[in-house]
Amino acid sequence: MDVNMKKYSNKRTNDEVCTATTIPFEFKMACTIYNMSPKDVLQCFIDHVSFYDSLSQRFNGPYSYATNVLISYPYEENEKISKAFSRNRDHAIKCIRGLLNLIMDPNLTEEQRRKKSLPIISELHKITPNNYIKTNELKLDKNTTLRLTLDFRLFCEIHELVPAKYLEHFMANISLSDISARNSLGMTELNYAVAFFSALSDGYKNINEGNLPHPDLHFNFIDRMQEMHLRALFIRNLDQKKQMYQEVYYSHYLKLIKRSENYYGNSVNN
Amino acid sequence: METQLTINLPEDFRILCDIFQIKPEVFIQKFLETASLPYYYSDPDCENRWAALFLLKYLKTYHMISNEDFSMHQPFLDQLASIISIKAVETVEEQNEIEIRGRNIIKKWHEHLSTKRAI
Repeated sequence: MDVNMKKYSNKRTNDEVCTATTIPFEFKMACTIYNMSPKDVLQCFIDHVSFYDSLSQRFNGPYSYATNVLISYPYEENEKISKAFSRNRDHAIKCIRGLLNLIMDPNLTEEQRRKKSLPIISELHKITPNNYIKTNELKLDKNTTLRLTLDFRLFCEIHELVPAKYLEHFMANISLSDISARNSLGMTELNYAVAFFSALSDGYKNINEGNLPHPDLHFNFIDRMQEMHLRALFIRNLDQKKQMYQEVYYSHYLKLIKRSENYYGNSVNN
Repeated sequence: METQLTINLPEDFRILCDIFQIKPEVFIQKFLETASLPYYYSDPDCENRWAALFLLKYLKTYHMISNEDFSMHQPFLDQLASIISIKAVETVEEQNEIEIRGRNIIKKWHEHLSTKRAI
């Protein structure tokens, strides 16, 4: 499987700012199986990254998941202090203090806090340099563009990373076979990227358009998976287990693709 | 090996046996003959896989090996895992070979546990 992704140097050049990222096969397969477009999943992910939530200790569902994907990014250990606010340090501290006060205000609801945080985030963004993001768009490919939010851009500038790095980190964590293998072995550590993806596949934001297409294929797939859980019961090795699930997912993916091609092919011919 | 079983035949099963004129002992015998892991792993997509799957489901639900016991079972589970395949086994010879290998692994596992438990 082609899981190669373009490698990005974190060095600042105009070419590398806001360029496309290659979608890993496992991620693409997961999106296809759950009838979601990679673009919609990535856009939703970007939209839920929240600078406000990165400072808050509260759990805010998908906002916390998406934000924690960025927080748990494997930053270099010797990462230097960010230069993002070096020119406006005092103003930046004032904004962050404002956000912390909001977070700790017991008289506001979560919705009110989030709403009130927006002008502060916007203010913070005004004093942040645009070194890593020049525009608010990221081209996925020739026809697909993602909108970058202020919060997402803030993270990129503060951590001095191009946006593709974060998206690659998110996508690299989405592997249905890995999820199934870990679940089946009782490995229950929380993976924020998986948690966010699962929320979407469970219907959050309704980006998988309700019903899955080709229900017959899905019913067969569910039957196959139920058998696979039992067949692989004695396999205790993560990689071996993962490999077994990978074959099942891959075979289902190919069937879905083939059916869609036939369906759309026939529609065009008709 | 023959053994005497005293079991309660639930009403639904009893009535169905009566309708289709099935002897419960014949049905149970058939079930037990295919409730075999070596047989199942030699051709996991075969038509007669359901008794083995029921057995695996039962093991999964009620008899999963605890972490403390795991080291005792691990070498045999690993050996068993080595014969589990997702792809259909192509030849009858290959199926027979897997079934024999599986049976030998389970026998050795059983011997090992019998010795341990006797101590």
